[in-house]
Amino acid sequence: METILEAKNLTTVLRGRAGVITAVDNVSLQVKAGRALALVGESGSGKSMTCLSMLGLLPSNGRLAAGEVLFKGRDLARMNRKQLEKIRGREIGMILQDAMTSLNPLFTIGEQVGEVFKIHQGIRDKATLRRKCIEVLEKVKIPAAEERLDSYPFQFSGGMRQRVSIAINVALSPELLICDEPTTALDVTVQLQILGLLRELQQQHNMAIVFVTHDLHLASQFCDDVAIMYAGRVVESGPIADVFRSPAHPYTVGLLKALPSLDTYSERLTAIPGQQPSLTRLPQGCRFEPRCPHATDACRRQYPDWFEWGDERRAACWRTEDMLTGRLDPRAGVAVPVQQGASR
Amino acid sequence: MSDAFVKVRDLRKTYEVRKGLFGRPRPLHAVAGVSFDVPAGSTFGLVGESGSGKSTIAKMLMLAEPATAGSIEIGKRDLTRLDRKEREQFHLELQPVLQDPYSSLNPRMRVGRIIDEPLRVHGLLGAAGRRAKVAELLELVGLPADAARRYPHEMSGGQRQRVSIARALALDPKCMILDEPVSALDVSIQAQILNLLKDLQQRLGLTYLLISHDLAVVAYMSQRVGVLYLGEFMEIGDAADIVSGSRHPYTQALIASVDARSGGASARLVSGEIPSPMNPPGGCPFNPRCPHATDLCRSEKPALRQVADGQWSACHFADTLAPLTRCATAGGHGKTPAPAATAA
Repeated sequence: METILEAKNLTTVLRGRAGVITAVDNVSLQVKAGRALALVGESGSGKSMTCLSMLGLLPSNGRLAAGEVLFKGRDLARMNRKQLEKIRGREIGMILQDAMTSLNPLFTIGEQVGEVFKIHQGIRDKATLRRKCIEVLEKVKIPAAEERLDSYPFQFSGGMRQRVSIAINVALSPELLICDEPTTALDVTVQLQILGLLRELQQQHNMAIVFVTHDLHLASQFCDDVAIMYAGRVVESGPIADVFRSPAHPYTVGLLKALPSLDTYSERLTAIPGQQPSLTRLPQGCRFEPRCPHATDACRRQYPDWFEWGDERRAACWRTEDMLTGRLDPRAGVAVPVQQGASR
Repeated sequence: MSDAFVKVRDLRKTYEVRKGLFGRPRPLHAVAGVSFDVPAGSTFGLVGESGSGKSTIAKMLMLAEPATAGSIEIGKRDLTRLDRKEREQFHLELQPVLQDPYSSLNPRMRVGRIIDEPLRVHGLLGAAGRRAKVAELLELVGLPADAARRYPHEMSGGQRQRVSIARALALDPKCMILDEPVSALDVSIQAQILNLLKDLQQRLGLTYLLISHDLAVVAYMSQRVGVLYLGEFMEIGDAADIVSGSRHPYTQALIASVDARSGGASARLVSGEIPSPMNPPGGCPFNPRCPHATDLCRSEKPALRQVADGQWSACHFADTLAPLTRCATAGGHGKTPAPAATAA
């Protein structure tokens, strides 16, 4: 399968009051044509920064310190602003969490969708623009598209605004769509509608998708591959179904168990103790070690090497082999319930 | 129920909204008549999407917002007629824990001062007594003793939420209103806080009113669950019955959307979004999105009626509605609805 986007050893530093921190540390990712990659992590894990680094959209205090971003063989990290602007919006689309902030409240939906065609295709004719806008709004299933062209963003519901933002970003049939928590601000029943739409568009256009999310379960329903980030690094990656079936990194195991589901509601949740380390005070060895039930001296001394196996799976954990051969009790060291959960 | 600590009867909140400066005010029914009981020492979960009125109910219970009609009784005290002194007393009994531990803690105060503020305001305990109480509270919520000297910005989201729980507990309340207590937190931290809240409830015999958009969180924490839609209850029942034997299409849609994200087979998803409460649909409020809606649903509003022991549903077809087939049933609480004559 053709690789559309490949990030190699991406390292991004941010200058802040607390000094310089490495927000993205040696991150490598591969996105294949027509497939969706989930980039999963908690806040501060570097997942959004990874996307911004790839697109050359870092904040002014950020700098790409090392690495390549190969998009169809060209290195985006070496391009200047003009070259990048030609690619973003045309060949790569980006959808953000809250469409209310990514749409301009002072312009009508029609003007904002039309802008894409004006800038990238040089279309000036009003009637053509209108026709193209209606077409693309219908593609994202906005009812009565023609009448709604002259509405303003505030007149749209959250789900409809996100559809507009998707319309703008798929208008020119990009080969890659980067979605940063596209459904987090939406209601649960609407989230799945938007994901269904994205999936449909992906199949129609054979688009590749990078789907940034903190929700592992949602990712599993929508994506083909997954990369799990923790404290600025990727700790495990592979085909998402395999990772779900047999998670290898203790952090992935912990995340999968921490979520309440409707079937386990009467049991006690197994929480991961502690919290993600601050990027200014990272442990010397593995970054998950202070919270890990399986940590050994090796984990405290040195950051683990990649352990690779099977069908493109890898994990950055010294104990991967033990985990895979079942020599580690996946429940070991997990906080033992003090008392049975509240009786029902 | 005679031992109900919180008793809410036909509670309503109507806002007068005008369109433009000189527009005629129109009523917006944020809460359109809800009744429920919360037995002492138990948890009642309110679940609903944005705009369902769940936070408005919480505000009225905290006396932050006057009710338009109806009655609230908390610990045998009628909230609608309290004089100033009684109001003060009331706040000793009921305390809130809010969603965002970033905006609900004063950034200029040290944690110790934040926690003992309620004690100072109510003039309880001397300086030494307050110090001892703060130390005791910190331990109770699982924070180290030196946390008292830190500022909120030095803490992580999970720690801050522990601080707000400690502050809420300072006055030894009997009841806590938990308004989306974990939705701003990372997945690995959510489980810690939910478990802490459950432990505290058992140790201190607290009564909880839990508000969340996340059915899985509500089912995990609560004995009784009320499902809100456009300011009204669609269904009320025991958590186990709601999850495994829901008798309302909206609840079923919520369950399906939780299931779908964790790989459940049944995807009885709904279309559309929650309508604006400014112009609610005629008949059943859920009818425009309901897969089972008939002419009856469009013309006549179904009343909330008892459909099983301890379970109420506001659906014309509650008796004939097919039970939701889920991939796994929870704890075998399933009660298959008996096929009965069509409700008219």
